[in-house]
Amino acid sequence: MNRDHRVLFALALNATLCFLLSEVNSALSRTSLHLTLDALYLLFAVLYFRVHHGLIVVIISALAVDSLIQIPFGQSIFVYSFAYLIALRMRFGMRRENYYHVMIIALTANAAIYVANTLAAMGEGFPGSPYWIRCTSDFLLSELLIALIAGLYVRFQKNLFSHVGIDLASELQLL
Amino acid sequence: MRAILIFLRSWKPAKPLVLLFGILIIWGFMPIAAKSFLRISFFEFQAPVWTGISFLEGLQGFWSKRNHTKLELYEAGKNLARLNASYELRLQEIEALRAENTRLETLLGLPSHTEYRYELARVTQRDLSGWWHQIIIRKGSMHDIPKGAGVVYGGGIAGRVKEVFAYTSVVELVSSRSFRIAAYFEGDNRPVTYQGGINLPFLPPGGEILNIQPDVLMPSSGGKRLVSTNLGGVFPEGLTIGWSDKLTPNTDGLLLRGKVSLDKRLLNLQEVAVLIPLEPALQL
Repeated sequence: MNRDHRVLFALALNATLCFLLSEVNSALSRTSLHLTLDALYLLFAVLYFRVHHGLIVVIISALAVDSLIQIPFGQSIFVYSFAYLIALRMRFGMRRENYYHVMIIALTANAAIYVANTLAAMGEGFPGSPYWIRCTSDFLLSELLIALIAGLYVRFQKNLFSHVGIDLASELQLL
Repeated sequence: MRAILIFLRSWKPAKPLVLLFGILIIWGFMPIAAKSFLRISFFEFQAPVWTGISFLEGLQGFWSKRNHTKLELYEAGKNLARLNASYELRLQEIEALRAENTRLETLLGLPSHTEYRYELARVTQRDLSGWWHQIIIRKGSMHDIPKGAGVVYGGGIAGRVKEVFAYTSVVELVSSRSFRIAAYFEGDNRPVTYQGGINLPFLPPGGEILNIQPDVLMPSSGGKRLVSTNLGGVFPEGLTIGWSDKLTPNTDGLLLRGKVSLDKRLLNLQEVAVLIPLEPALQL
């Protein structure tokens, strides 16, 4: 399988994750809670893809997410790219096989995305305390879940890739 | 130019950065029409999945209801028949009131109220984050849903249609921070401004009312019902927005402001109705 297919495969996995996450958020809406796990769309691309492939995954995922929500279309390209660069920089000091290193990269990327989205969604004027309380509780819940599942999700994706004949773990960690 | 290329080749870590900035610059200069086309394409590409999931949920509900015994179905039918009878009586009453209203309007030479058609739609997705509150419904431009139309549910106003696609529409909920409408307290026809946005975890949604006259008083028990006006032409008059029980002075000291509690059912909407004006001239 060539590298183009790995990009398509990663995008298909991101789309599946997006649908699952939307269903979870629909169910969570009854409790006024919301999960933002956008770092999971970038994480595998950061850890295992070359930059040009990773950027394709990041940009298409950003556009797909943007089309569904109330922000200027294309804003997520900037936000995701920013998080992608941070995660890419962190990758060189860390081991992608290490569960905790993956967790730290995912937490940092997700926090960057969350903060950027929160500031961008403020709109006119400075929002009152309910906005910040709600954003903080959603953020903490999302980060907790990221910490729990990021390593497992990357391992799951790696196994899935190896099942379809792409052994990413044996490839060199290059830009 | 050649010197820059040689520099970039020799400095490998800059390669991804240059690539990324190139993409961002291209995106920045892309025409609005192309971006709009891309947005619609991305949304329409995903829409069948949301609609499919919604149909599957409907099917699941159908099969779970089929498991009820005949006795349970008989009881449900009997209850529905009672409800239908009471609604028929109320319908006759409404018809009589409408005729009376029209007669008085003609007599006084008043402009008639906007009449609406109710288009029922299933909710396929709910996205209620701290940043915005929106739902996606299973009806779109193919069902004549206009952009900006009002959306209602059993508890009153649900929101406003924000975007319309072929078979789906995005509705901004009344609890969303960017939702603002004119409203008034029941029994007091002076308009106030309602704005959504107080959505704390594990609590019902809420909003804020601004620009309230200082002589407005709250009852000692219960609260005042905040209802819609027909000023914007989006909603008919008298639909419930929420309840308010406390007003505080504004920072300017001249006017009052207060909090509004919205219906808890807003967090779990399954079906809504879109208000489509009957007269084409009043289409939004």
